[in-house]
Amino acid sequence: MGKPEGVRSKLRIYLDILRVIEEEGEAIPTHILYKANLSHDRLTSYVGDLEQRGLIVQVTRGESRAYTLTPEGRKFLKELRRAEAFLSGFGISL
Amino acid sequence: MGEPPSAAEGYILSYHLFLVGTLLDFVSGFVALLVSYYAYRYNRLLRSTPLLFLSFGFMLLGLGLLSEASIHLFSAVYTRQLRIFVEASAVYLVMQVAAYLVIAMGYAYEAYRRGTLSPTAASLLLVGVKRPPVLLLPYRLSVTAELLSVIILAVVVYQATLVYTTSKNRFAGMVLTGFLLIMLGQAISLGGVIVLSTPSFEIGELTRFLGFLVLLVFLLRSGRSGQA
Repeated sequence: MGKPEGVRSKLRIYLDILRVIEEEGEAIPTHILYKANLSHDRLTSYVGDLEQRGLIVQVTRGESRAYTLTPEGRKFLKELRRAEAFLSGFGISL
Repeated sequence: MGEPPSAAEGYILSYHLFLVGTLLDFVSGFVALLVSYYAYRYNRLLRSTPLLFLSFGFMLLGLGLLSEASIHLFSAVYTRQLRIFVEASAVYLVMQVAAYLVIAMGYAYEAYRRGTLSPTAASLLLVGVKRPPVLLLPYRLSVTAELLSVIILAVVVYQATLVYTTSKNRFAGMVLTGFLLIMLGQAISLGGVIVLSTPSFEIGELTRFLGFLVLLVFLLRSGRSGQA
């Protein structure tokens, strides 16, 4: 019943990715991969999701591409952080 | 042993104490509804059963407190009918027990999902609402409802303690403190109801209100966590 402790939920992964992008301002995929602890396939899938929802947008950084948060992305990140804090009060994980 | 006293004898309050008590109930009810709203809002993100339980439980608690306070105020100012006053309290007590039970079920569901509660203990909590006891007089209703509330809140406090000791998270600490004060308040009120002591009952109400204040602080601080 329920998922094991070590498995991250989709929302948790979104939060980790968005945090990395916020920290860096413009984050390249490799940095997101390592800091959010994702495999390449999952990174492609989740980043694609976030781009499709308009939460992040691709920018050109010299010869490489990077991602930055949109205003909606910042709002969503804020909401996720608040949710995380609220849920932690009741021992519920994101 | 004589006949149990009527609710009228048990709940004679001075006017000022009554107003203060009603105000505390309004604020506590508002806080409970706020918690319910945020649990509902985050459930739209998470789709989590424990959150649904928490949202519904706090909604029952909030609506119960606000209804009781409103009817008490109305009946004191306009109708001055003690019967309405007493009936409002009776309805609130039943809603209170139901609310705490739903909240406890939410905690039990999450604890079971995470494997911190044994299947037997979880199933005991999740069996469902007990049939209300046969009530002959409001006094018995008060004692029974307050006692049930204290017992159910003890379970909630136990679960909140487990959450806090596992996570050492300050928000979990605030929620634990809030529920602890609410439980303590209910226990003191129970004592006041049993011995028909108005000061004890009022101290219990005040202690419970402090618990809701701590939950309000939790809501404000967790809300500010939205910033980086």
